[in-house]
Amino acid sequence: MKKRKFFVVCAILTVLLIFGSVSLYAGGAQEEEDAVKIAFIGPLTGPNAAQGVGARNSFLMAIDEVNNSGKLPYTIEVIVLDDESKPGTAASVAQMAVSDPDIVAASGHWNSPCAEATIPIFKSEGIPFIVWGAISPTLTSKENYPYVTRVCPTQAQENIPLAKFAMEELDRQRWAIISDTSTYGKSNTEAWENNAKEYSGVEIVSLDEIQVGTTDFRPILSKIKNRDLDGVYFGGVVMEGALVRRQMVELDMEDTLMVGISGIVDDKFIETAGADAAEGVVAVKPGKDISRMSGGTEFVENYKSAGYSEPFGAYGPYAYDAAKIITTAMAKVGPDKNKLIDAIANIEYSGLLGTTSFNEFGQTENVVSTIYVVQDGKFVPWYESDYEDGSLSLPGAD
Amino acid sequence: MLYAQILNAVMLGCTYSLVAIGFSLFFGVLDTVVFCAGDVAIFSSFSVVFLVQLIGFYNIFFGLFNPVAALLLTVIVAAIFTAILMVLLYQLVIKPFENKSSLMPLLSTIAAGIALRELIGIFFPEGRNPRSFPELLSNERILQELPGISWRNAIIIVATILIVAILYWFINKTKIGLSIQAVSQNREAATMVGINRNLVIYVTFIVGGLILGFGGFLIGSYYAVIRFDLGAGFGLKGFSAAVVGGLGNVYGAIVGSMLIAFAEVFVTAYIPGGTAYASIAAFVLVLAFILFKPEGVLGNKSVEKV
Repeated sequence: MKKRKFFVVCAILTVLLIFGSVSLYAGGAQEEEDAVKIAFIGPLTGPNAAQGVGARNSFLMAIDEVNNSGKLPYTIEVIVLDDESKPGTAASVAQMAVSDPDIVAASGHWNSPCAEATIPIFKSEGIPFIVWGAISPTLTSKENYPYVTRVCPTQAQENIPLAKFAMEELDRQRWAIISDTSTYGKSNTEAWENNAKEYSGVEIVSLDEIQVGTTDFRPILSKIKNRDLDGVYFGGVVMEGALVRRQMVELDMEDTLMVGISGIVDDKFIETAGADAAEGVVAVKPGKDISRMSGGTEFVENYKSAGYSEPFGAYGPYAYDAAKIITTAMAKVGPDKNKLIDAIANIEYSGLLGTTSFNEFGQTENVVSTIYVVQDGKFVPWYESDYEDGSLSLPGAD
Repeated sequence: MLYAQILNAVMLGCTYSLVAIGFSLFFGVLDTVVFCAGDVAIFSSFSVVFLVQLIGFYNIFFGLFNPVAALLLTVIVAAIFTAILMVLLYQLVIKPFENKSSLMPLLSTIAAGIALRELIGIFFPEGRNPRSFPELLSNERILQELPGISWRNAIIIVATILIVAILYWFINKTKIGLSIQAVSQNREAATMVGINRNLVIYVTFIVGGLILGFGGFLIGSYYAVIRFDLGAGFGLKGFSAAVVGGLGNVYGAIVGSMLIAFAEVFVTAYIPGGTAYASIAAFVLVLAFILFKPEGVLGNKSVEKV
């Protein structure tokens, strides 16, 4: 008797389950006409959660604005996914996203390894993907074009505004390069060399590559000391950068300008090099103060009034523009992922970051960055420093 | 430029040589390579930072005595810390493997070096960040006409020579020093003539610890920036220097350090694009010595005992 009852219960359950799933499926099918979904992926938990959550909020805010404006005949739904900064998790949530046929575009990642893991997945499903925060130069490439585009500059692109600043504004011409042999140092040095060559009269006097962990730069500095330099470019991070600057001063090279990349924009650099030695060191960092972006104050107000408790962070504006780029392309060609791929790759969009357009690798040509200078033991934006108005002068200035 | 580069090389050689002497001293007595010497030296640098910046030891004594006394006291206390650490390391990772294959202490000291490095990183406040080393030795020039010779550089060179001189006196003129030599030459015979081998080993480790302690202070002063993982690099260079000079010979360690330092500096200075190959040049030198003159510059050609 008991056994029989059990069977009946099982049978009923099975029937219910089958019908349930069918009706669910039917429900899904019915909605398909007006459901347009976009996936957002970022680190929402784990060590980089602050970056991911700020970007997610900004992304959602952009989509809400579009939905409320009624410009599109359908509502966009954002599927928010968490990669936990782990490539494994990233790949599995990306797999989940592409299995949903309603998803027509995706944007994601702060961690480059996560992006490396998910890009092939989106690419194979033909879903256009905009990177909002990962900076490894190889993510946007010939192979990934036009599927993958990126709104934030790569780690090497920050050399473009730095070179422009050093060559045009400061009018420096004879450069020595010291860089480390890591991928970071190498890619930056290459970018710097290429950018510098575009300015007439600029000469790279020497190139010295050191292993990360090198502590003695005096042989290099003694070698380049008397070569009439206008500046030393350092491609690397805090520890070696601080040693270079310290030893430059020790060898009486304090009147030689040193410029660096975002790897040295850290208070630790000044602390370890010593505030006196670090004074007048120039460096570049991607990103811009939000109040100096077009529509920045409005963005801040809207963000506040939307009630997000977490700060939008350094990458919020990038995620915001990524969302707007997707919706702008959608307004043009409709929610069709195949058409969206080209529409996004060829877009010219003016937003928070300025005018974004992508080059032949899908990389943004719009490098938003700020030049910093060390003044009184702090990295100060150039436009706020006493160097800008000439009340202080940089090392080696005439 | 030649003058500046020679000076650079001599200074670099000095920072290598105290670590190299540590290697040679331990190898001479124990016939085993104590691979954590570089990390022990960096431990000493951090001890100095601890004494000066974290607990203000230097400043307290600066008030009581004159700056030189306060400085000496700080360095000596840091060196004593290092000597204690060295004895502890002997007890923990070397003694247990005493009568086993000499590969065992080799591995265990490599492991100890890694552990020491990571422990500094974990337990020292902000241990993984680079840290500025207090400027205890003045960087002012002694004579305006002589570029490059600052008080600090002069003190580093003089201190290195002094330490070696004291070591020479200690090993050759004192009873315990002669015992160290005896043990290093023939362990069994030394025991037979009534030398307390255990005592000799402990003294060696204390002396080695003190030397590495002073070495760490000089390294920290010369670079002015230290980080928890610098020891690995200095360990490798120090060991290479000891091999080039002849493992087990403390004077050879100095010659080896200078050879390696000169190779590195001159490759950087005079070969275009040579900077990336400076360390490679140093290790090629080591390789050449191992192949063609394995006993090193000053090492004794030892006859393999059967």
